[in-house]
Amino acid sequence: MMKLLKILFVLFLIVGCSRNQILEDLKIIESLGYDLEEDKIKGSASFHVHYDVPAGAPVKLLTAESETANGIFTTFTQQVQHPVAIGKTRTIIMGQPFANEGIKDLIDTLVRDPIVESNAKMAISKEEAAEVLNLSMKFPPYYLSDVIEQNITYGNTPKTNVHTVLNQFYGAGQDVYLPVLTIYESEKIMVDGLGIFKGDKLMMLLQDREAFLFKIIKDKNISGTYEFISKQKEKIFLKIMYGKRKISIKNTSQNPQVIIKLDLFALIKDYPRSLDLSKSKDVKQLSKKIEKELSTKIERLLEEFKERQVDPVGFGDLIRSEKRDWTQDSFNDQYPNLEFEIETKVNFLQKGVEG
Amino acid sequence: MGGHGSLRNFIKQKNDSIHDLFKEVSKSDDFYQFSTKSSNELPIYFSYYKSLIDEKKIHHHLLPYIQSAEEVFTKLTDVMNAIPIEDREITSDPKVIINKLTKGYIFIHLTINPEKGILVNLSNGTKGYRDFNNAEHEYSVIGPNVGFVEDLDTNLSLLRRHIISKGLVFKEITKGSLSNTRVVIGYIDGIANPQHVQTMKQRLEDLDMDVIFDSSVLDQIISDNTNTPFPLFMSTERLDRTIYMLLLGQVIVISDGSPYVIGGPTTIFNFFISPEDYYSPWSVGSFFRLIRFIGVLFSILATPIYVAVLTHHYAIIPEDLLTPLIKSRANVPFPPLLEALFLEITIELLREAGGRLPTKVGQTLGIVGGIVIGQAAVEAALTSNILLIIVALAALASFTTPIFKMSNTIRILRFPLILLAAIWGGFGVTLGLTFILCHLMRLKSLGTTYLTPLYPFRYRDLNDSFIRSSLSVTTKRFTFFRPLKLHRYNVKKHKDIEDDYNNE
Repeated sequence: MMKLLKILFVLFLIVGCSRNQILEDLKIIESLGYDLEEDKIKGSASFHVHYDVPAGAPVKLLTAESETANGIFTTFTQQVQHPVAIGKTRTIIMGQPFANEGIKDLIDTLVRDPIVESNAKMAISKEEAAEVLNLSMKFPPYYLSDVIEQNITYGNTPKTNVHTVLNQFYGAGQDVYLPVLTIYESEKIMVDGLGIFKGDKLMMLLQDREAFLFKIIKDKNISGTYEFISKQKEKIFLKIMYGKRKISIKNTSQNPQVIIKLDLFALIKDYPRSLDLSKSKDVKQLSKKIEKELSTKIERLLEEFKERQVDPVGFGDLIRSEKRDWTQDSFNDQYPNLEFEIETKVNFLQKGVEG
Repeated sequence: MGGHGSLRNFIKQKNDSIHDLFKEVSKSDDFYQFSTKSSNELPIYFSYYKSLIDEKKIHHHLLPYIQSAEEVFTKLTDVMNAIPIEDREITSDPKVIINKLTKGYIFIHLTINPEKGILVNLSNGTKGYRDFNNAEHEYSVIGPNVGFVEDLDTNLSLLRRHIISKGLVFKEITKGSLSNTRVVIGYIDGIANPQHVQTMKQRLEDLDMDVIFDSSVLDQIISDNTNTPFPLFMSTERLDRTIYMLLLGQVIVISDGSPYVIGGPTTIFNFFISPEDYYSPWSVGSFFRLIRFIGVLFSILATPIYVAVLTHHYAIIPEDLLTPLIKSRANVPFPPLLEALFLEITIELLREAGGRLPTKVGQTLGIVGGIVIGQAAVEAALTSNILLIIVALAALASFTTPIFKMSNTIRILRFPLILLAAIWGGFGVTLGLTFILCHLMRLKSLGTTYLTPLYPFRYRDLNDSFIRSSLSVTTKRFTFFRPLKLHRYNVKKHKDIEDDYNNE
């Protein structure tokens, strides 16, 4: 027993300690931003200082220029008094030009990095990423990631994080989609729609309403809010609480046909006063209106995807699960001929308090 | 005790006459000799250790009968017939005489230099010992609070009065070359496994020690593994806990002069049960027992996890905690390891000093030490207030175990884990826990593995480990003590309560 202890002690001395990263001696980066500036990558990083700083030394954004995605950290280290730590980086923002050029290098770096969280949110920004990050420094810590996270849970953004992005990028038959951030009224940061990629280049931007339609056909969490004006100039607003969805493909070899069945449970918040929802006739009328609207708009969205030859919903992946000899090229030939059939059913959960 | 030393040497060297014995023994000033005259004017001499005998007995039960006896004493047997005390014998062996003199016997002889004399038992076993027997160190709010005292005969009588069965057997041996302490092994014949009794007796007979101060000295000598911080024998001061040990089939050892009774074999779960669990309903008792386990885990792991996370794993701190943690540590000049060690050692100092302070000073110093020093340390930015809370709570939680020896163990288990956490982070904490677990799995107490019923998994014996099941479930004894009879009592349903929806 004593011999064992002596051997253990000697082992301690040989192995030594692991490198410290003591909490208060670190610059914990909250968000990283990547912009494109004439062939070079302009990186920025935002952080917060949690203890009191003297008044004349405000906390400023870290900026750097480099050729590679990780080269910005060299310049960051040259600007700070504590080592830079990216273990708690929650958002990675890319400017639109950067995304148009191609995000392949960045994704390659991310897939091999064990320190960046799998739960980090990636996003595109319409303005420069550095500007967005600069604005976010004024807000409480982790503001950006909280905004995106909240929209995923309660808003119209489908679930996305580094884990799903890597899966979509490297997986066959699926294209990447990322939320889009924008600066609203020059003071607020807003989530505004989705960006769809083809391969590694940004191809199209969806608006907020289309992002909702995309969310209910793709995401596991079928919820969100939607408003529209019907043909009879009626303004309707609904909030989808939960739902069920079934996507099936028929006839995968020749003319594949996609059938999407949606079963939605909604709260109807704004509807024309001419209808009285305590009567089942009116309920049926209203729900038919909404169903028709949703079905047509979804079909239009899917046709637009077909036109631009992007496949964020993952039909290629779905067909690949049923065909043995599926290849991306064969799917590219099949994709323009894909037919969609969409059935929507809307059930009203609550109609409000009767007066 | 000094007189005994010279006497021991004396008996080894000389085996001679009583005269030489008296010469040696009178070196000690508390050896007293006096004489009275009986009715025929013949002197009768008394020799004894004044500090050992009970004066009341010599005044009331011995001298009156000898002094006012009417018959004439010519021989020792006449004197013997007049004495009303039953523990008396005539002897001429100096070894027996000195043995009994040091136990509180009085030596009566008819001549100054006698050949033989009468030894009468006038000892006062409880002189100098306290006679109140509240269990002050293992206090319980409800239930009887009867504890053992230092006198062996009182303890044995307490046990006999509670287990009124001919199965309760006491075997007495004398250990200790200088102290000649009476050590008693107790068990219930018919329930306790004879192997355990035999092992216990064997180990006790084989040991050699000069003075048995306390039963914990015996504990350390006869235990299976002396290098472990975990107590391998249960040591308790309470009567009801001892009775519970006996009825489960364990063997107890009581030593004269010690109010603590040790018992074996034990498992680690025995140290977390408290008599109060049994005097409350089983759901309440189980809840508090679970709190004890959680308290122990918290006490061992809280500070090491704090040190590990702050030193190596900043990434797992929730974002809402980042600001308070960094703010509280911003001006602290030490790394988390030194800060934690500083606070832990302060708390240990407070505890050690608090045990030795006189009660009047202890109260104020406790408040001063606890509150003011803690506040001042935080204000002076020597420590952070979050760590202060964690260390204070962990120190408090380590005392939730009812047995004092176990809470000592938990106190010291924390320090190696803190060191490992600072060196290797979360990996170090896991390493330390693995070491502790492996050590626990190999411990044996009198042949029974320490972690039963978890480690050799005994499903049916789990009913009294983490939770205390109701009395209708615990009708059998634990199998891992290997008792001779498993059945304890029968459960009968109430005849007057019906099983309909009117009753809860």
